[in-house]
Amino acid sequence: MEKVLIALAAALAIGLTAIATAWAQSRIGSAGAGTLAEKPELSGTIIILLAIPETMVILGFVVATMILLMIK
Amino acid sequence: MEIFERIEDRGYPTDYLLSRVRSRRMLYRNFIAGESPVEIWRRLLKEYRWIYIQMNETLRNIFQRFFIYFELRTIFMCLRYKKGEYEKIEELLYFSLLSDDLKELLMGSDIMTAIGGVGDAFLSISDRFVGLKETFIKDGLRGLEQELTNVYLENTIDSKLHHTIKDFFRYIIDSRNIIAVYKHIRWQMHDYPSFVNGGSVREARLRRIFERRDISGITTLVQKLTGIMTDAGNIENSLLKRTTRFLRKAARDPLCIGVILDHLWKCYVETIEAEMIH
Repeated sequence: MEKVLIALAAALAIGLTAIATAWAQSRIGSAGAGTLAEKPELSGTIIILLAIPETMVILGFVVATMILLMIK
Repeated sequence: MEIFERIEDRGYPTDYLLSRVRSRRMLYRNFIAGESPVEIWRRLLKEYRWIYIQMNETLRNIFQRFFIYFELRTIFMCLRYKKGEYEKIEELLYFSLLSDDLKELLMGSDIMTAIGGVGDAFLSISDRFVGLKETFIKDGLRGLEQELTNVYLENTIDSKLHHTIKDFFRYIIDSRNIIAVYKHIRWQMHDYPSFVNGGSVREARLRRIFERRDISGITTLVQKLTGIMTDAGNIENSLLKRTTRFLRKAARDPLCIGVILDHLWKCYVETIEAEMIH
């Protein structure tokens, strides 16, 4: 039972952060596309802004890995 | 008959358009210009059409009443140019969002058929628009313009709207009512002005000001509404500034439709300024 709960915690850690990243990137992506259409010189800034939410899912992945390593 | 042309929804996300319009607001200033009233209005319609095409279905539903309100002026200009200036009508309607059927009627030679078509198109919104032909016969083009605009505004304010759009129309109604009272007093007219219901200023108050022929009452009212010191010659300008200020405030929220509304209004104000210079 304990193993199941640990696996569930790991799944939540990666799953929820992935959803949050996807949502944030979809909004930043569409807003960025709008900005780029008018100001193409801002492409560098837009790429950085788009990459920022990626940290959430990376941290989620790290946390999930740490949780799973606890099983052993 | 439909009022608007059916334009395919390209499915662009709302954030895309908000962001694009925000950039556009900063990049372009005083870009509504032209040599004639037709050219200036055409430039405005071009911008409005471009924004309408970029909108998704949800945004189009929110803004439809706004676009129809400004297309009313296109219709009135076409009707005015019916006395032989057909090339101007064609030029005006090029970027218009009006349906092809309506455009065809407006380009035709018969003014009564055109007014009948406009009446039929607006009857699809509400049956309050009945009797436009009779109004034209009785009061002429000016009477028709006033009647159609007033009924449209009343019908719009009674319908379900986004709160920012509703507030915008409330400001428009206030402006129309106050300017109507001012003109009636200034031109010493005896009939009551035809007020549009739904504004934030009560009709009874406007009637009282009119009965007393009280120009200072109007300036006090405008000062109270706008917070700007106003003299009688500056009423219209102060009321325009009031709407502009409200929309600037609405546009501060980057995720709100206020950004688009503010841009559309800014284009309209530029149009008025360009027409005055012309």
